[in-house]
Amino acid sequence: MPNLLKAELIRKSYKVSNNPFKDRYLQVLQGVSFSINPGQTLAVVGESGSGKSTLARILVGAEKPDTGELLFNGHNVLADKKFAWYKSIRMIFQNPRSSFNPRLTIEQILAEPLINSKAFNRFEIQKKIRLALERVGLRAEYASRYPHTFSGGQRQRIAIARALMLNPKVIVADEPVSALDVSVQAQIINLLLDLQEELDLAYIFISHDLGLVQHFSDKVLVMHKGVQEEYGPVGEVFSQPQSKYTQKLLAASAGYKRAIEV
Amino acid sequence: MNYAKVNGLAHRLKLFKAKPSWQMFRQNYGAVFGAAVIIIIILLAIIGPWIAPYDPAQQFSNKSFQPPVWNIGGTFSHFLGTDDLGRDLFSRLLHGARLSLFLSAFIVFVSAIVGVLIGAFTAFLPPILRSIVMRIMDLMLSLPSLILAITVVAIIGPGITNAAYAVILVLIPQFVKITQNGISQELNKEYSMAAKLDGASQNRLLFKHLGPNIVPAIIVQITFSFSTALLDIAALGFLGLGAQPPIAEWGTMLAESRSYIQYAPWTMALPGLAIFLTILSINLLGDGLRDALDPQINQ
Repeated sequence: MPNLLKAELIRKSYKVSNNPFKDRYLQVLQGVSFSINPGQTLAVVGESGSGKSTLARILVGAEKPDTGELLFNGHNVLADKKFAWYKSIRMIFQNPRSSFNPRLTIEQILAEPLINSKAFNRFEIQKKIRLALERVGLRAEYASRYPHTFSGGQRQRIAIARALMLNPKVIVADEPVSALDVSVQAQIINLLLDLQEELDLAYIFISHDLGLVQHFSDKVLVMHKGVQEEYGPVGEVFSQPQSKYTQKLLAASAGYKRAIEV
Repeated sequence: MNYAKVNGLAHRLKLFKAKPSWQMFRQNYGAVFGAAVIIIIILLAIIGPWIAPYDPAQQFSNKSFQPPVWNIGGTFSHFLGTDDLGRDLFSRLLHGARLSLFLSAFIVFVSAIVGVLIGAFTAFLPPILRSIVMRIMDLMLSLPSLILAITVVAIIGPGITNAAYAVILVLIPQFVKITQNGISQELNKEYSMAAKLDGASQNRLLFKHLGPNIVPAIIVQITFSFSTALLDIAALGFLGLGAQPPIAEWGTMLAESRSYIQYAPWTMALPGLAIFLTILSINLLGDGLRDALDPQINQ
């Protein structure tokens, strides 16, 4: 039985020089590997610029890595040009203010993946949107409103509904709560946990908040300047960090210290 | 049942449905005034030939320089007065409105279509070609539009048709820039990436997601380009490079009456007032539309 999603030695670099005679590349990811199964959560932690968001974009198919394999149910999706990412691996964006088209209603936004899948008629789409809104704790009447009429927390709920429209197996969440108030953060995290239990989802959770990561995830991947510093079960990595960088990161996190003392 | 196919046409029609907030628009008195004046001028232009009392070129040689009805010596038979050749000013203004408005509309229509197509095409070119096209547009924009139009007319020769070609050419770069910038900016926003990750095709992304965010800017540009077109055509007419006498065109009328401004000021004031009112109203309307078309402002 293969893993649900398995990444092997993913590398990515960006061209940073405009000089056509002298190419300079910035190594953003230098061989990242992990695996994840249904119902599990993998946390990706690291400082800004460590390549976390690039990894997220590669995992949802928005960018292609230079080398490496991404196996979804044992099938290398990077080699498959026809792989429908939007049906299997979905993304929740960090900023709920910019990730919605301001000129589309919530109904049109949520209908988008359903229309693109070409598998549903208008009535099925409307019914699915109603159910999706209710599943994330919003009223079905909200469908006709525009994104800017909602609060940040409500918008992030809509983002979760959008990600879940086609029953994907993997959700990549790029700091989904960092733009929200602390009280709302907890609600969104609890919603994500409930949905994971209900739908057996695998989460890849990119975060700065080590206290949250410890509470939330099964595995953790520590990244530093594109290098995979440490990867393993969350208890092991947090209690016996092997790499210097992980130790520094944990020491710098006040939330983590508090968690240890308690 | 295939939702996308069945509703393809309905969908396509809905794509560019701009949703202005009429409430917002109504509260903007300037815009309402502009819209009202524009509608009156357009109606006058349409029914002009039926309500004009005389032919615009008809000369009453014994009645030259007759003042308007409110001046001493004015009569109701020529209630806005006559010019140096005894032609009825009211009839000439009506025909001029027809010419100016329809010509400007045609000019803006052509330059908007050409400009938007070039802009959309440019947005998807490789960066080097894109900068070449955009620098050419910047070059055209760096020259005052009237100077550029005069240069073009000087090359292809004077006349109303050539003046129209020149103004079309002058107005294109603005549309190219707005469309190209709009697409590039919207493509970089997170919602574009979200739409791509929702499985939207390139066409769907462009028409359904980016289009509605760019079209309002183009609509506003159309109103401003319309007033530029009207003014440039009038200016070219005034300089003798556009409409040639005896065509009744506002700018040409201004030029013809220039020498009589002290003796018969109404011959110059009335066409000038017509140009001024039309352009003021169009600009007020454009300002109002810009605010009303933005869903984030108008909530």
